[in-house]
Amino acid sequence: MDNREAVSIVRVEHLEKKYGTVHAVKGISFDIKEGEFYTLLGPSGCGKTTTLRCLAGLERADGGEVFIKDRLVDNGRVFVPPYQRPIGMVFQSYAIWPHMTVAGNVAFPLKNERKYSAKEIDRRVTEALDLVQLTGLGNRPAPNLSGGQQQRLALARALVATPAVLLLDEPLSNLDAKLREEMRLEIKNLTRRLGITTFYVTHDQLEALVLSDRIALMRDGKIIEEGNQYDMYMVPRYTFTADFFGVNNILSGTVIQADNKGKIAKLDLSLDAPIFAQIRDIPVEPHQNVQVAIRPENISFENIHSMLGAPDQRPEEINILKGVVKEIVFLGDTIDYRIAVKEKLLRVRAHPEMLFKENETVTMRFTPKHVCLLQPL
Amino acid sequence: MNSPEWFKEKLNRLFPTGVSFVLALLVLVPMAMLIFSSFRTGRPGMPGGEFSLINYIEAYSSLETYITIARSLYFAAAVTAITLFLGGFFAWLVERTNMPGRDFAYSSLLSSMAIPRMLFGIAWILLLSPRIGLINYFIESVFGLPRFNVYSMSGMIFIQILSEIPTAFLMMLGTLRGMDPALEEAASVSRSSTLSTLRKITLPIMTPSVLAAAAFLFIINIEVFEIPGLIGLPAGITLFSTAIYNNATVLVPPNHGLANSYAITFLVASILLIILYRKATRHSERYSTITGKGYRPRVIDLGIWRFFAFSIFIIFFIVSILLPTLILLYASLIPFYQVPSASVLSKMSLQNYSAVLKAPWMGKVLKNTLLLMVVAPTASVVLAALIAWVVHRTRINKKWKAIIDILSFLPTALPSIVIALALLVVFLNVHFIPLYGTVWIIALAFVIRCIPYTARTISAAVVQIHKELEESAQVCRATEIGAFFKITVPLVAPALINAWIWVAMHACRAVSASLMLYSAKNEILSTRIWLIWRDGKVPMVCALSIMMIALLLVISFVGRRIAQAVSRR
Repeated sequence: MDNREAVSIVRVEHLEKKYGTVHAVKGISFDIKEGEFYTLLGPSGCGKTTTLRCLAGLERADGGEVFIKDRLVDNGRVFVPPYQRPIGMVFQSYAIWPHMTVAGNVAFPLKNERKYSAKEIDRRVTEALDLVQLTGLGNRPAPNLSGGQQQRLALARALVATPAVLLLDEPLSNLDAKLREEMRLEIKNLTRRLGITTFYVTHDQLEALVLSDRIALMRDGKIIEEGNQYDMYMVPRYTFTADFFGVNNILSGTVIQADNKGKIAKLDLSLDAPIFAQIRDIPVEPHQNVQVAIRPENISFENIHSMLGAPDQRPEEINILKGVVKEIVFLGDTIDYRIAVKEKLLRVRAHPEMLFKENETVTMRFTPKHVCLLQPL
Repeated sequence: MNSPEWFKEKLNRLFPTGVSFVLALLVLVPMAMLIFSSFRTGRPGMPGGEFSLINYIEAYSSLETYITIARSLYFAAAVTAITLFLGGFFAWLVERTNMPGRDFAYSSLLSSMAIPRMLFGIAWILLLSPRIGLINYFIESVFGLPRFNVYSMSGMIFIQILSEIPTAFLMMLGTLRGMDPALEEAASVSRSSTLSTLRKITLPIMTPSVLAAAAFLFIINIEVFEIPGLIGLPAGITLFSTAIYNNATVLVPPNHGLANSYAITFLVASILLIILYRKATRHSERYSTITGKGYRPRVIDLGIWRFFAFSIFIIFFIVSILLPTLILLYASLIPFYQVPSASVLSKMSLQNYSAVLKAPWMGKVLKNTLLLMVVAPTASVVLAALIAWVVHRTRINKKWKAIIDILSFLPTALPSIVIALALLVVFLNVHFIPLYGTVWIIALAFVIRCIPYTARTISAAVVQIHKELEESAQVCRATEIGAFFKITVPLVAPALINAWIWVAMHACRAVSASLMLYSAKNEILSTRIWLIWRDGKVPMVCALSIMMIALLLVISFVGRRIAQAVSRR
């Protein structure tokens, strides 16, 4: 996507929010383009929900500026209340009004706008219910819906008034695992199909990866790193990012040799051999302390057959390590091994047919491309 | 920007301030006026008079004042101690033992509250008066024992205890029910005997709430007006509340200054009690009681004693419900009050009822009563809903919240009679609001008196409603106030209706404020009963009493039905 061409729908500049002595949001900035699915991801208490509530107008910013569709909606002095912002929102608890019918819930925003005829409201409500596959349930009392249906209803209500941006506050956290997976896909398909700009807040890295065009990872009121889902997972820039997404081997060591032109560094990670890592945009110097991340799924075992058939590779092209199996966790679709290499334990994810015994000596290999150099943070 | 939207936004911001202002006006202004005029000589609202301590000097140089204080304290302490003990005992029997007929015991305790305190007092005077008391008649003629004089301190204490047991019972029941049985079970599996569990676990855990109940009951008993007024005044035994009433309205000319200085002392005492009450309840969450695990606590086997225990409730039922209602009913059907005999029974008729209904004052009394029973609860509930909204739903800071909280709790320390006196002083001075002598001033007194109750119950209901329900309405283009009224208010409707009924009943039955604020124009059912009782027209009083009880029963029945229908919707 070419971001310079696209229209900015939400722009946040140096947003600040304090609750008494707690500094919840410390001057964050971001920009959401038209049609983009933008996710704020982070552990609980990192300020992501506060940020979303500032966008919605449910909180007032203490500093910075919030623009929606180039209109200043909050800068501490100017404040546009939520009911005048072109937003739709799905709450963590769904916030379905129990004293209304399904249709009553969906019609509520339209009725408050006071510019639609009864016929038009009816038509739009039906359309919105069709959109989330609740066709024909309009007359039911809202509390009679199942958890998943309430979730869909909340979506329909958020979308019915054609908002400029859809705000989703951990919408899947109240669902059981199976339903969550289903709704995740449905939210993805729905937002893509409608092309609606979406701001999503979650603590679940998997949700963020599945849904987002862009992810911003937050910690302690600041955005640590922002990028598309592939880069955030595969080539994180910071230790925190590498650690937050999935399972990762994070190792510390020093640089032995660095070839910044050839983009390869030789590292001492206190393993039984030096490790070669690919240098990306940030050059490293010898004797520098570094941290690296190696994904368990990027390490493969060599059995005797592949060893025999393996072509000769220079050490700069492949890292080979020997270790001893210490722990075996069978997960069904994979096996999680913990392999002791000298003092360190490496996690390795293998195909369930790759069976080893405890205390068996194994050989592991991974390419320098998969050794990701990190910056501390 | 002068659009309706801009106006709406301004209104949204001004509203919390407005509500706090109204609350402060209602609670603080009467008190301030009361304090102000207690330091002045002369009649309120009249020209002349100067600042002086004369009222206080007059009050506190008189031995009578100290006797009144001592008497009031003695009365309240005795009643509180005994009702707390009996109420606790009854609650324990109903909640924790295998006594038969527990449902009957519970509902008879609850339904005895349906009889207004004033009518309860009247009924017991009809039973125990040394001259005309039926029980006294039987004591003397059948058993040959001396008559019991109800017009005495012990008579007052006895009747007040009977009328307060249900309140004490309910408070202690709440305490017992709130206790997690697991705490006791944990003690008993830790090798603790039943008795030592009671002593070391149950009682210490219950202490804060028992203290709170004691403080609360003490306040009720020190401010009570009906029983001391009915019994103490004719007997010449004045308590604090009746002393204020006497000085402000009975004496000619009234001694407002003295009444005011009494009221201030009264006020200081009850504020001290309230502080004690708040201290006792402040850490109640530390003794976190409700766990949501609905295990019924272990039932204690009373053995053969359970039938004895049940007979206590039979006696209670007879003494607190059957006898008072029957005596009122009986007296309402006969031409003049006398001992039942064949000739009396043959003269029974509905004559008194038709006389009451045809009385020239009846239309005015009914109109005023109904007006009061609509205006006071409606205003009270609306105010409480707004307070709940400001405290729980707007972004006012903590200090403001604490102030509103204290303001809405403060009237607990304001006895009805003090509120009434304060309003009297206010509207004798403020002539441009012509409320003096109208039914509206009585309504105002009840609104102020009921703020603590309505604010607390409605706040509790509002807190139950997830805030996101309202926020989602705001995101769906509703203003903050709009969201509150479209979403939260319908959801807490049962609580609103229940609070409404409570205030309506209270306004109908309580007599002290209405009597203090009485004028020929604003007569209501309760003040009319009081006045004709004073004139000695017993059969008419009883006919009116039965009508009042019927009215209260109908309202509570219909109200409960509506609340149920709304909550089932």
